Amino acid sequence: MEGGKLLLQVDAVTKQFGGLTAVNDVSVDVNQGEIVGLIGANGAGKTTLFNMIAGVFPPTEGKIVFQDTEIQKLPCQKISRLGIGRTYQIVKPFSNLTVLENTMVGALQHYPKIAGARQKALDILDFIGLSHRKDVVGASLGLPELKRMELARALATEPKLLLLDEVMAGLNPSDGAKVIEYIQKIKESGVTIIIIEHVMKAIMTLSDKIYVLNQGRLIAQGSPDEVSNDPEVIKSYLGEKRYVKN
Amino acid sequence: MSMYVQALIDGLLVGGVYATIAVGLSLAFGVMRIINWAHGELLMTGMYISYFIFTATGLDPYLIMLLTAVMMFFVGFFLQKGIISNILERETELEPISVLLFTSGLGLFLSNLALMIFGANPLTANTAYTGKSLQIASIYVSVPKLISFTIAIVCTLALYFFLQRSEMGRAIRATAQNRSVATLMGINMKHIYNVAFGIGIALVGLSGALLLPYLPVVPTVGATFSFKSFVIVVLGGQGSVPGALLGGLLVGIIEKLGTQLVSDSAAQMAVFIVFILVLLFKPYGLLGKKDI
Amino acid sequence: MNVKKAALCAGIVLATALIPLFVTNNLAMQYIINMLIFAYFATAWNIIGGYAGQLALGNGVYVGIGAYVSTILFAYEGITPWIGMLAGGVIAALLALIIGSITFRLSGSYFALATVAMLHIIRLTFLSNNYMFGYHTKGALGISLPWRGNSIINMQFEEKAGYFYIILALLVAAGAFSYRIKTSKMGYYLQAINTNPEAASSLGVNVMGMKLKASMISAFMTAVGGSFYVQFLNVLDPSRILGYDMSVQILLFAIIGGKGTLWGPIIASLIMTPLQDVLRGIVGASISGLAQAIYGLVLMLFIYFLPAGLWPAIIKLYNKIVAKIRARAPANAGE
Repeated sequence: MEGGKLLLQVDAVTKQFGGLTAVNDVSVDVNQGEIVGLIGANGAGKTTLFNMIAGVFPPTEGKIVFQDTEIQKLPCQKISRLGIGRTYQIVKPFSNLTVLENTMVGALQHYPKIAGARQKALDILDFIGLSHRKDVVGASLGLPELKRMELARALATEPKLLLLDEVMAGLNPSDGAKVIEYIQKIKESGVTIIIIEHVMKAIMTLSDKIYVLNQGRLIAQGSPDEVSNDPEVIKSYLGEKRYVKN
Repeated sequence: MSMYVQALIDGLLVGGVYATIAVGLSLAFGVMRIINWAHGELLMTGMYISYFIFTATGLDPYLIMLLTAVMMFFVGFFLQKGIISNILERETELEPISVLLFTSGLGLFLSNLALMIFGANPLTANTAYTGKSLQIASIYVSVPKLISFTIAIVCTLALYFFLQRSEMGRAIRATAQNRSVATLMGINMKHIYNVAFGIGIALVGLSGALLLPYLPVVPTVGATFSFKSFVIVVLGGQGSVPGALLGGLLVGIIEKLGTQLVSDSAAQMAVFIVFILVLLFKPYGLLGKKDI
Repeated sequence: MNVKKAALCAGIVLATALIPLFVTNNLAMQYIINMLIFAYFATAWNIIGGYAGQLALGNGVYVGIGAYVSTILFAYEGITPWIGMLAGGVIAALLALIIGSITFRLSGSYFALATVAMLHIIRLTFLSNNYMFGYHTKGALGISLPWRGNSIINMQFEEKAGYFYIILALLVAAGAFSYRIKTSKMGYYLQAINTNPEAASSLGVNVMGMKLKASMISAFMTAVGGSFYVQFLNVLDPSRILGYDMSVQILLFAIIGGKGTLWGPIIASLIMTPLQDVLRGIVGASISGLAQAIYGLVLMLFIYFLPAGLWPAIIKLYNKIVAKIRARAPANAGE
């Protein structure tokens, strides 16, 4: 499926930590309105790539361009304000705030008045099906709800691009299916998404195109069909699956 | 010229004892990430205990140190076991502020308890060594400082080898490096914490006796040594025994030499300024990130 | 804020304002003013220590800055302490900006240590220099404030009531401002930073900027309090004003009362500040160190058993009681 114009361009990005090259010459194009999947074995460099896009640390080499602006040197909060939101692989809730308050922290970015932020947060919680839990403190939530709250929080910043890092990790199949629904809803509302996921079925269903990383390098890219039939991918992934089964 | 050499020697001698005092704090921070704000007050306690044992029995302070070391080991062990561990358990952050706050309350309590019971007047122990000095060329070397320095260095080295060679020592170092791996290796972390903390406080107790022959005992002595110890831990790198030694000697030298060169307050300020600079530019200490 | 709560607060303030009409004993008034001063300091500290969650153990340095600036201007330039207060506040805020830029890069315990180091550096500077910025500050001897006459503009009063009303006004202002922050965007952002700064950053929060802002506000308020404090004491004693003990006292009650709450610091300060004086009354003589030892003990007990502080515990108890009463009510209504 063709996306809109180019929203994010990761251009030959490399990240080195001392002697370790976590990401090696990776280029990714994300068009407006797409869902781009990012798959690969653990340690392949996916989260590192996310961290660079989100501004946690800069790339050693390469550029990242978001809506015609180079963002690779900008700090986290500036990138968030430019319109990129993210969730974390290991959730980072504000545990002593309620679900509503958590979401409000995100909403305050565009709605600096408390009343406005509250309303926006309520709307988001409605959209994502967490309204009934709005007054529950973060510390009392289970993992599926924490993941959804994190999603709500990021959505409240009205991002143009959303980075989802293993939103389905640790969820059972029925919770996972719900998440897939929400992601589709989010896409329909006009948000572009890059998603890291290990649950193959989800990635294949959701993604318009997929990039495959292995040990920091891009080894394949294309539509879900193209990628799942790519011999390199089958080799490195099947290999992974066998290892995991053992 | 000899004034400066004198100050340098003096600084080294007191620095050695500073190191022994601080190394326990360094161990606690390196292994458990806790800052014991009452560290100096525990030293003060060690000093008062030593003073009263001395006054009551006339025992040589260098024998008393063995008693105070054992006593304070148990104080430290049970403080960690009974109280600090419970506070740590509740803490979700990586660096427990609650322990810092709790121990600051402890310090406040101990120093004022001492003030209430013993009063503010400095108590001086008239030991066999007090006031004696040797003359080497034109340098006067204080005898008690020299003996205390020697014992302090021996203890610090002993601790170093204990951590490097003994099974318990290696377990402590393993826990400091990587808690999850240490647990997987079957190390009982709680016990390690208790022992590590106990050792640190034992050294503090021992140091109390070491200071007795040349330092008057006052309730406020704790406050001085608390901060000095923090500076040493930062200079030497948390959890590093050689670092604590280096840090201790350095602080001792800056103090004595600084007082000689400029003034007492300038020397104190220099210590604080060095502290800030090291925190900013060499957060792992002057020696860099190190194993204990 | 709902009308009921606002009315209650206004009522409390009005009732408190009547105190000087009933209390004529100078000594008692002094104790009461002391209580209000430390409630004020605790409220100011709470903004950086409670809301932002930064354990600034060296904030006493701003008490000293406020005290010195206004005293120098008053004693040597004849400028009214009202202006001196503001000048002190601004300078303190600027100092907080500088200190914060350095110390906020450090984590938890190291940050706390660094703030104490800063306190000592400045304290030693004032103690060891007889002249600061050209003014004769007399080092460790301190400055005795000249009596310029009983008037508001001099902030010097023969009757304690004058001081009482000023500190009450300051406390009310501090409380109102603190409330304003807590219920605003800044309050939410500070709470987020407190709990999870990385996540906050990913939502657009400028973590460093917010911390600096909170620190500057707290410093300004603290310095204003410092100015008032020396006017009240009529003497500037640097070892007290810039001492570590002072630095601890302005936060001790905030922590015991419940850092991060509005009323906690105030309530705890009101209860605990007079301890020294009350003990003196009971025991007959002043036992050096007794009050402080009790403070230390209380802090330990609270951190161990009630780490959230006194006020949250009181609220919890209140809610429990209300819930129990409500649970009984339907049964009664049915009869």
